[in-house]
Amino acid sequence: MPLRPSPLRPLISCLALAFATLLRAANNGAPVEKFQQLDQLLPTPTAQRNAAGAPGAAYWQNRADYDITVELDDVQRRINGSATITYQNRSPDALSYLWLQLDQNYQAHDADSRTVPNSRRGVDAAKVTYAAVDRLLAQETYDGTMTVSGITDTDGKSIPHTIVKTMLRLDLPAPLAPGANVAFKLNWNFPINDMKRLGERTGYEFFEKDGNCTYTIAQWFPRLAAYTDYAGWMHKQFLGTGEFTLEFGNYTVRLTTPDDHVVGATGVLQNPAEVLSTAQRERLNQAQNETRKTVFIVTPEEAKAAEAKPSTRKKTWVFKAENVRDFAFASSRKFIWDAMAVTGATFPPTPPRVGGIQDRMFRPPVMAMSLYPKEGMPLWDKYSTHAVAHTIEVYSRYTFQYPYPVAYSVLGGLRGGMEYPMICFNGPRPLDDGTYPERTKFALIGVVIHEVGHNYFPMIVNSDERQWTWMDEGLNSFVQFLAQEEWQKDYPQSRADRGLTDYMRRTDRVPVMSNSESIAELGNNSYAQPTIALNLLREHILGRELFDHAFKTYAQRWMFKRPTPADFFRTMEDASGVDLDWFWRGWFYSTDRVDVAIDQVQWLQLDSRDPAVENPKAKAEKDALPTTLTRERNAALPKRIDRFPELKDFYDSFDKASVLPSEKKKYEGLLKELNADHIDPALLKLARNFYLIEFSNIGGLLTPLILKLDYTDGSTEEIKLPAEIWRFNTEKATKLIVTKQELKAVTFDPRQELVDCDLENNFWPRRAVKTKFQLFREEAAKNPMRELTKPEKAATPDKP
Amino acid sequence: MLFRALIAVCLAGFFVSGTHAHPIHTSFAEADYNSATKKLEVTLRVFADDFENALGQLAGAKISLEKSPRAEIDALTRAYLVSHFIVKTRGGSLAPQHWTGRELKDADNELWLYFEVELPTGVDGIRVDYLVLKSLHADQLNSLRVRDGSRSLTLIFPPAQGERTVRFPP
Repeated sequence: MPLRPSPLRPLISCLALAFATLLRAANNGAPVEKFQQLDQLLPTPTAQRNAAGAPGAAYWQNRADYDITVELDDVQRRINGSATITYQNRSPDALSYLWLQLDQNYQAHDADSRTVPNSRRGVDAAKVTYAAVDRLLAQETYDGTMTVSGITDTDGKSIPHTIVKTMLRLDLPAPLAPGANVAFKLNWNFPINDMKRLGERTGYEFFEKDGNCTYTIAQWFPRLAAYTDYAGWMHKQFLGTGEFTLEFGNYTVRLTTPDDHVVGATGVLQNPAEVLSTAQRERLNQAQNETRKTVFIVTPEEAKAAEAKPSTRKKTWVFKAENVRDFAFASSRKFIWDAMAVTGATFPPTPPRVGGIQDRMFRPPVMAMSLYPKEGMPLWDKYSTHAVAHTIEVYSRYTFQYPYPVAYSVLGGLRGGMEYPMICFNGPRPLDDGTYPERTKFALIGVVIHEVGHNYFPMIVNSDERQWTWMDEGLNSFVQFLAQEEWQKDYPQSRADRGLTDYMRRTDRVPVMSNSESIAELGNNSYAQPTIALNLLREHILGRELFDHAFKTYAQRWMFKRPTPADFFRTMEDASGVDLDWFWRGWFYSTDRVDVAIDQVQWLQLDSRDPAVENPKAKAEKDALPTTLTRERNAALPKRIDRFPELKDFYDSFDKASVLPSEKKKYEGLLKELNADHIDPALLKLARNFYLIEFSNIGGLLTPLILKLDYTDGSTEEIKLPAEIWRFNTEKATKLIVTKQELKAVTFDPRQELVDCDLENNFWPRRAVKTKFQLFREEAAKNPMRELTKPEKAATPDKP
Repeated sequence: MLFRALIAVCLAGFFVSGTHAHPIHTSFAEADYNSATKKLEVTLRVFADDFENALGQLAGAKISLEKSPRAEIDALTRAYLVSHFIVKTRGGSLAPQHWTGRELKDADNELWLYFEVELPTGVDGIRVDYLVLKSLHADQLNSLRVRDGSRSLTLIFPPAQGERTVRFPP
């Protein structure tokens, strides 16, 4: 980058006297669209969702209650279930059909949405991995179709229906009137998939050494699709990328498993006396009083014993869950079970004290629990339950008290993690030899926080995952970031949060507000970008107090309801009192990036108009100019007027710094004028420096300007200009600053926290920014002696 | 006519699935052209566990970045980079690659690879095939930023993309 010299001080004649910070207005036709209100892009407020971003007076949502009897067949590895489902139509519309989701059909033998790695795109035919071949083979024989039968009303009369791949339509005998309920029954069964061979969010993991499986089961029953006020039925096909859109309801589930299995599920166990031993129940009681360490409910030794001798008898677990949008469970004889009570969280949540009186109701604590086979140790016993408790403690502060009795984290055969109400499945685990790389430790802590955090978004703040991935993933990743900051100092960022500047430099990104299925770079788009954007909003635009209040308002307004993006944007502005349309437009609707350049810094000085001050100053400046080489060489030459002194006249001895009477008179005249206008003439003699800093918004994404000013006397100052500086011209802005000291350097975004994509133009005077390559090279070349004499300890560069 | 291709089955011990909450499969490379040495200085950032799997696939056995012998990892990395980050000059000839080193930031799951590519005729018009990790993940998305002085260009290599040419915008 060429160096931009700062011009030597041009003098300005200063007539304006208010030296407040000036913003130079743009010329006509300046670009200002980015500051326009978002109204054109947001849907019109309705009676269900008002302009403040809150549920409207006529807000409605439907409900579905499930009464399920199911068996987990450990021998055949199948699910056999039957249910009575009661659907409540609280919409103002009469519904002639209902849609249910059969997500298992995504794994049907002939499913056209089967994604197989190394299949059609970019395949190197000579190098197919064993796993890919295995998966192809497995798919030849595995048909995950959910076979549904016996769809009848409660009297046993058959209901006509149609299956459309992963969706099932029930044609009701008579349209379901607004406000009415309908109940129906059905049966289903399907083979559970092997997660190691076939992938997916649900399935079993088979452990060869002891011949047992762990089951982490989800999307296992026909579930009602959501009927919404903004889109009617949300029955987009399940293609594996977009997740789920569901209704709240109550569940009663009777789950039959082998009698040596340990089960964790959504909800509260209703029959502990029948399914848990006395010892286990005692330990659970003990765990309820433990907030500082975990308690084993099933110890590693007990799990090991159960592994060795599988039982053939069965038992039935009864769970009840209220106000949940889904139901998942995990079951295995291999499970170790530990638990801890969460500090400060009870079920039901303890209401805030009113008038100094606390009711005497006993509320048991919310329990944080983990289930994992011995292969999860030594990581899981140390971190999992603590991470669950930590998540509830931190998230509750930023949103609302956790309204459920329990939160589970289960070690499953999936890669990464997946969330369900009160239970989540997570994959990271140690290596076979019991050791683990550092990244696995943080992968586990991070994924547990993330998945448990999903209880808040979208399990309770029930946004539509299939339509807008970022509303749950982005908001959850953001609060996860806050929770991780409170886990330990300098917590390392997870893969979802890194590299945002690299992502944002690309020219082929799609806006965050794009439909999930068509986003290629889902991770950066839906997780990282909203996380960073919300953090900027919190730290630099709204400030923590305003942001936290607005965010909490959003979470509490939409608890157990279904929000849309407009509701979020509107609530944040409504509660904070700050116009943020430019922010949403930039970060969520556009593909702009942050790249601000300091174009120029001009140093201006005040003209005092007093000849007694200015004349000597002008002379001193002229004298201070460097001598040219010509003059230097000519200095020794003899001069004529030295030989003929009579050639000297008045001007040879006239001091240019002296003040002429006419100049003095003019100045006194000016002072009189100023006095007449009641202006203090001392202002002309103000000992200050004026700097005009010019900025260009190259990247397009509007941002506040955080500047670090370095002065020649060694001191520094940080100033922050709000993003409104761009409102007259979103491409260029200027700032006039007044300082006592002399300015040496200006840096934009000194802490590199504004996601600026080009660091080089952030400095004035321009500074060469070393590339990472150069830095590495310099460090790598530090110890040539070691490199040459002890090669196994050094990086080995190629010899050219 | 039956066409039988020989498939080399690698015993990599990992499983390749696209389950759960959207794993990210991406890598970033920054390439700065050093006109003094006439070399392209490349910094390639990749997720450590993904790269481990790729090396394992190449080696035919499980590789651990922390535990496997250093020399073996170096050799495998060099071989992998040469075959998966292919640079051709404008004339079409293959540009030689020289490996400088690597840095592992394990807590962040990041591996930084540093290498140079010889380009005596300059960086305009070169063709890059950025195949790193493509054979492992069907949704691998790589991006490359090339800089020459003040000129800069970002090239994306989404799943179906082949070779791309470096042509700076005017």
